[in-house]
Amino acid sequence: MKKFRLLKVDEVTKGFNGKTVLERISCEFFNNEVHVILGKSGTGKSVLLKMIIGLIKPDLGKISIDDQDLFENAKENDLILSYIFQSSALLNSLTVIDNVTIFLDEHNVGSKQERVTKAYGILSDLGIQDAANKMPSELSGGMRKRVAIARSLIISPDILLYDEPTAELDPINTKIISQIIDKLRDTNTITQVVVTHDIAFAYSIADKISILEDGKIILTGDKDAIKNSKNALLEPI
Amino acid sequence: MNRFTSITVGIGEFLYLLWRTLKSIKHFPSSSEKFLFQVFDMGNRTLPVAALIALSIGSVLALQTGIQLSGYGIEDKIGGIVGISLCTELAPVMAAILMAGRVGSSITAEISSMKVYEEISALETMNIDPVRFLVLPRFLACLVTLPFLVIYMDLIGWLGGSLVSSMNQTISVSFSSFYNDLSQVVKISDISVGIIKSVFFAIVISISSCSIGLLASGGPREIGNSVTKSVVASFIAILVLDYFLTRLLILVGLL
Ligand SMILES: Nc1ncnc2c1ncn2[C@@H]1O[C@H](COP(=O)(O)OP(=O)(O)O)[C@@H](O)[C@H]1O
Ligand SMILES: [Mg+2]
Repeated sequence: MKKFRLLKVDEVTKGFNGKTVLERISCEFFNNEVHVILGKSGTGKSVLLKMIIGLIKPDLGKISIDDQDLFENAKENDLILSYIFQSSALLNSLTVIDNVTIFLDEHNVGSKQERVTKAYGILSDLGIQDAANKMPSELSGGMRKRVAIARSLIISPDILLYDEPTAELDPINTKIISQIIDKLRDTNTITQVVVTHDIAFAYSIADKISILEDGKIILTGDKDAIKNSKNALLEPI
Repeated sequence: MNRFTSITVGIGEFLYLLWRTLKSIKHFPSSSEKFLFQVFDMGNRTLPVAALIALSIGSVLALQTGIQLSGYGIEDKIGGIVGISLCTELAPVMAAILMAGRVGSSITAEISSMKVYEEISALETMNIDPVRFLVLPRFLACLVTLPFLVIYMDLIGWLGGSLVSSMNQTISVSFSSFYNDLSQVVKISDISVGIIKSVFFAIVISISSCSIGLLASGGPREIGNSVTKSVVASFIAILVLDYFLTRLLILVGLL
């Protein structure tokens, strides 16, 4: 079942303290695709995702789902978005399993037993069920990232936003994250938006790639089209 | 921002958070577990030190006052004097200062660290209200714990006073005559004065330490700054509020 066709960022402008970060940026994310936004550090990738998830309000412009304002109609479209922070942002005072069940706990979804069972299922899909009773501080960066993904997956999101998911990870963990994204794509139920500055990682997961530069999307297209575009930003250093 | 505007903004933020917390009270049943945890934690942090402080204040108060009184031959009034001073003023203020120093500071440290490390934003993306999740249980726990702490310090302070009065050669007022005089002078209304004060102090300590924590922004250095700010703000607020509460309580005839 298709819950939506198109998530659209339309001419959105955002600045801080008089300095414009994103200027009339537009981009489109279609259902079930893995769309990677490539850009250097400080170009506003996190700001863009935080506006889509609603943590930051745009100064101008609109974010819409199938031409309906994403926030005004939040109740009606009952679309679930989830954001995976670059820092993972796990609650450090809770165990892994409590971090994963927190949404269900706080919104009283199902019985405690059902929540825990569901969480264990997701943790074992991601290969980290052994960490269930550990505290976040005991985990490596790669495991923390997977716990953050589990915490997002438990709410069955329609749209999953990843903020530089491999930024502090070694090649093996980067590979694990790409495999998770691939597997989720195969479920055909989830739209994944990934921002990163890692070109190789982008090529390994993307259906579509957009390049963010100086507050604007300067190029967007299917992975192969972008690969062949010979854009200077994509040249190996 | 100069000092005056930042104090005004701080008070505004305090009142806004207090309002949001009161509005979220209807969600109390779902956070009762967190509330109990907080009560336990607050007790754990304060009870031992509170006993020490109360014992010491009660003893010194009895020693100083008792020796003066015995100079006039009216040392048998010691129970009432120590009893009243402790329960209307010293116990509530010392309990509040202790609460701000040990509990308020750790609330601010925890919440500002959650803010700086984006844990609060993560809650927001999951539609979990940080006020309901974090502030409400701490607010209610403080509201329950502080009055009990005051009564606890009353009792231990009185004990200290009576011990010193009976053991000191110059004062030499027996246990029973100490408590006899105390029970004649100290009325339920005097004990409730301390408890009323402590309720206001609890509101100020819990809400201001949460508010300052939630307002932290920037890097990890902010955590330390926030804690300092929170303790200073609580201390000043407690002392200023104590004066006006005392005047108010005199006005309504409780003192
Ligand atoms: N809350 C904020 N307040 C002020 N400036 C901000 C804020 N968030 C981001 N910025 C600024 O916006 C710019 C883009 O930031 P960001 O989106 O984090 O970049 P990145 O592409 O590395 O994720 C940076 O210059 C940053 O300083
Ligand atoms: Mg970023």
